[in-house]
Amino acid sequence: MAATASEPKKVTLTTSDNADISVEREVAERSILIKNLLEDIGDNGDAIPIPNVNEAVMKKVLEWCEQHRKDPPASQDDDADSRKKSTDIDEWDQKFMQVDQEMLFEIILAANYLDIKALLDVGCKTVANMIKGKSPDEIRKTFNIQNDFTPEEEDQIRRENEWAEDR
Amino acid sequence: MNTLKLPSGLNLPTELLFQIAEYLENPPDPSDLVALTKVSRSLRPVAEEYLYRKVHVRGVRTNDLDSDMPLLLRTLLERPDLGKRIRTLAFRTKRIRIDRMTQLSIRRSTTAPHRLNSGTLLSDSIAALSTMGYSATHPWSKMLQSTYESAFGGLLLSIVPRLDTLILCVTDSPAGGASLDPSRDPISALFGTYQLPPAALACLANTTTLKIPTKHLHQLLGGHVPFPKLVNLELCNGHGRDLRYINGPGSYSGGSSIQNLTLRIHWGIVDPMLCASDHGVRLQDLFEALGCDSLRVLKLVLIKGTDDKSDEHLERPSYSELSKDLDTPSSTVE
Repeated sequence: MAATASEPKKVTLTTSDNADISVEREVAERSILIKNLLEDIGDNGDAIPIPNVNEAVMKKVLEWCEQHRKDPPASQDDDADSRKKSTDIDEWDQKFMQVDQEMLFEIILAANYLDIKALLDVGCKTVANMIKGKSPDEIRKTFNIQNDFTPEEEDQIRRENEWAEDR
Repeated sequence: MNTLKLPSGLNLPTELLFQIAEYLENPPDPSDLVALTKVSRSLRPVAEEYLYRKVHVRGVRTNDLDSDMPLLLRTLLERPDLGKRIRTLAFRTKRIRIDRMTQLSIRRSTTAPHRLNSGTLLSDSIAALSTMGYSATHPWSKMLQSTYESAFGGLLLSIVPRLDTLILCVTDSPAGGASLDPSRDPISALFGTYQLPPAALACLANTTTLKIPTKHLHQLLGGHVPFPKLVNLELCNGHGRDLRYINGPGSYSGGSSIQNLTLRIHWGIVDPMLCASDHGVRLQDLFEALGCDSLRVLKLVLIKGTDDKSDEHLERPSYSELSKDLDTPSSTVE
């Protein structure tokens, strides 16, 4: 219910590596965490500490928030089944997510922490799309995952999955 | 010098891995989730959560004689935890002896008897029935011992306690060819007798969505199964003659809670003028048998000819008649 002033209000965020980032309040409030903080403590001009996100990731996240500042707020209807499960990602977001894997995971973690649902969804979809159509071995290579199964476990899984395997 | 940082190996909190896996859910194609189960120990349970949530066993849409349903059953008997994950289950099964399938020279039938031998499906199934109180002399157990595939399907329906959506088609042994028409007698094909086992009743009690051939309607809703929570009912492949089995208004269970009713019926069932089927039974009789107190959406898909090639909405002559028939203030007929 924040009143919209004619001059864009700014807030300052202090990242985990002690960088101060000044950003328009409307942009920062894409983060439900920050929005709630501002509502709770009131905007007294103090910097808001964001101890779980570093400057590089925060800047990236705010870039997304800036682009999506006018998006309608996420619907309250969070029914898992009614939500569309499409992995389509719009063009701008696709480009935005073309980062190295470490940054991609950092963005996902930050979106989760900052409670930016739409960004979290885009991040999860991006990872899902990196998995789609790949063999187990290709998935391991993509994410540098160790195969920690014993041969017996691999047999067991193959057997359990047999109903779903391609023939 | 900077140390070379390796990629993190999908180092995300489990809750986020679940969110990612949810996007891999793509029924009826489980291939991405199947691949994910094989990647690593930590990803296996994440993938299984969604792999077993919406299970579409192959052969639901086709007339393949060889069903993968017994393989699913084998897995669930060994891993009851996976059966508890199943919300949607879609399968087709036949009242045919698996051990005789090689004699029916039909596509993909050669591997079925071999699969029965792979592992302990048969003995595990008989043991599971025995645990449920059905001894080796009970007709259901007898059916299993003779390797009737549909009897395995009945057991499958007894070990999915969180079932929400059931898409089922039971067929009888093809008479003189490969015609696999839906059975009028699905209950005894699945359970050996007309008495549903309490375990299956418990599994079906939470079902909100049911998609079955119209030929199953009379047995499934005609008193054997209560379906107290049924909201969506889809009846496929309906013919006028299917309505001959109706016992009158209110005779079907579950009908009073149905909100969405979809009928896929062959054209002849609805006489454009009289709304009566070829057999003097009105479609209205079906609505009355179901009760339809809560019906909100009625979808009629009219099929011309005998194939299920939905020539949807050929004409609209009878819809106003139908809505009169319904006599339900809240009904909206699409």
